[in-house]
Amino acid sequence: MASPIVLGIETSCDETGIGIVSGTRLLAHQVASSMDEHVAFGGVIPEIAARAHVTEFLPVLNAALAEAHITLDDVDAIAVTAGPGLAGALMVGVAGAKALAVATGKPLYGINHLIAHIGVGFLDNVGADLHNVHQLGALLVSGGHTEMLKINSLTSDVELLGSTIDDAAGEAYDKVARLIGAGYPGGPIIDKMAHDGDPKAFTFPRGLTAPKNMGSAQEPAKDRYNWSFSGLKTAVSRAVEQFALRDMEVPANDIAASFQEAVADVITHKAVLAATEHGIDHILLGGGVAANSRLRQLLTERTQAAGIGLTIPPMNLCTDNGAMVAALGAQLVADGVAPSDLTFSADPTQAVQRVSV
Amino acid sequence: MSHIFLALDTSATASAAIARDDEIVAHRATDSQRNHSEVLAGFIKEVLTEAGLDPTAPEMLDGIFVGVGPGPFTGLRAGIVTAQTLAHTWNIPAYGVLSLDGLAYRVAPEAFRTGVNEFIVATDARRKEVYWAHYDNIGGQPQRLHWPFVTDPAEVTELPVYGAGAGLYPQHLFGMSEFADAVPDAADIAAYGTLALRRGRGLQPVEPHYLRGHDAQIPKQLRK
Repeated sequence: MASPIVLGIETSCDETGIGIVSGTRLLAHQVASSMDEHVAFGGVIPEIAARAHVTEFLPVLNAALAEAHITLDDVDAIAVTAGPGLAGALMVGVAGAKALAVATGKPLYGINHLIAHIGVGFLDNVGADLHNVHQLGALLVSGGHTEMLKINSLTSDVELLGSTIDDAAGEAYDKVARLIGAGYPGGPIIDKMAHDGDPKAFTFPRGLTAPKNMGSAQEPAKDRYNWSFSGLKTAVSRAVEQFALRDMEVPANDIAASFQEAVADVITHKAVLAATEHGIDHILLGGGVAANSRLRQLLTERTQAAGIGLTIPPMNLCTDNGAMVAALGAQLVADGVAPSDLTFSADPTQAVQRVSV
Repeated sequence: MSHIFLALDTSATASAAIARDDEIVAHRATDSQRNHSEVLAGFIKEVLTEAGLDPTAPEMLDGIFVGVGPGPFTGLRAGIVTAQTLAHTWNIPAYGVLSLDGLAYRVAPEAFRTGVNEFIVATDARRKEVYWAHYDNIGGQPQRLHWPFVTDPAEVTELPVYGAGAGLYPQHLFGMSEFADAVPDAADIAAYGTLALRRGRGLQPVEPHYLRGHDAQIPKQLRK
């Protein structure tokens, strides 16, 4: 099928997303978010997210079909995020998708959320010609993920080069925002504060960059391309305490700027290093933290310096959405990959090697 | 003319059934309480096919009854989102049935035969608690006297108790041994739902009956 119409469903975190594509053409892109309900808690509460998915599933489905001017009869296949993600949240989308598959008789693909973030880069409106890239890589940075991937084949062979060993980058932003009383979600707030702060005011640690963690290109240590943000968070916490102990005002903007500098520096340094050492000539950026101004700036500079191409999709396709699930689903259909059995499980810890279940 | 309904329940185990008037013509259930979203869709396809209905165009189907709990959240949601989506796609109505009402409807005739006038239906709420409701027995049909609760088993009203909640806490609950592992099932949901629809009362909105809030606490730094 040249341009299959695929409906994609995403409920792995706090976004209920349903998108529709025809091949690589985006037809509909609808997202409802329960973010406002998580603000008081300074982070996503899984049970609140799961409850919201039940309420939002059908309204978002209807909005997507209306936007695409199609009915379910026109759909060739259904794709749904099987994992990784929050178990309770994933299962709402999986159950809904299976019900759609039973009621319509259409094939169903349970897909990998992380690979969908890459799949979205193949949509026409992203404007990247990824098929002509020699070796594609992807950097995913969000509230739940921080990963560097090598894409040998989008639908069958994706390699994990590095990932965070503790907090995701976006999670570190949320935690630091809490420490300095800045609000939630931390990413956009700290980014804004950082513009009015001095990134050199504090020297916060870049996790896993000591020689013993890095090794060499010839003999890479285990964590050469991995990240750790827990030490950074602790360092910020100590800095805040020092001011509090002395009854001094916490220089929140300087802390925000210095923290952001540490995050963007270590992410881009290791991503570009991994790319260079694996023959990657083009990086696709994905995930909600792709909105971060310093990350974009530093990644642009460093990829250019290394002669590596960079694609940053529009922000509403970088954050979690159903269109990316549909986009990957369409690639799976086009590549003749067999649909999933109706009995597949949601897989909260689904590995990147498992593109579809 | 006969009436045909699909019924689902995921408040404890996962089950699906087709009822033609007062008869269950196809039925599937699992013993597991942890694989609802894996098995349910396949069960639905199987019961429809077994009842001679096309899953993609079940024109004879009059509606869907779904158990709305109370029950452990994740499983419960799988059944409810499934029922909502099927009803929407097939363009037929969906009706909620309190899962405890379904089980009460199953046990009431036996309770009546043994002279039990008032009784409790209790199921496992995990975390050392039970979901329960209190019923009056009117000639073998249950009439719920109180809204369902989730409490420590020691706080349940002292009456004969039917359902798996009694089997789990024999030290607190006066359980009826024949029903000590009974959980709500789609067959009960269909039977109760058909009666409730005929009477025009007793049905619930198609939304999860959680009874508990989420457990999230506002972090220290964010408390004003």
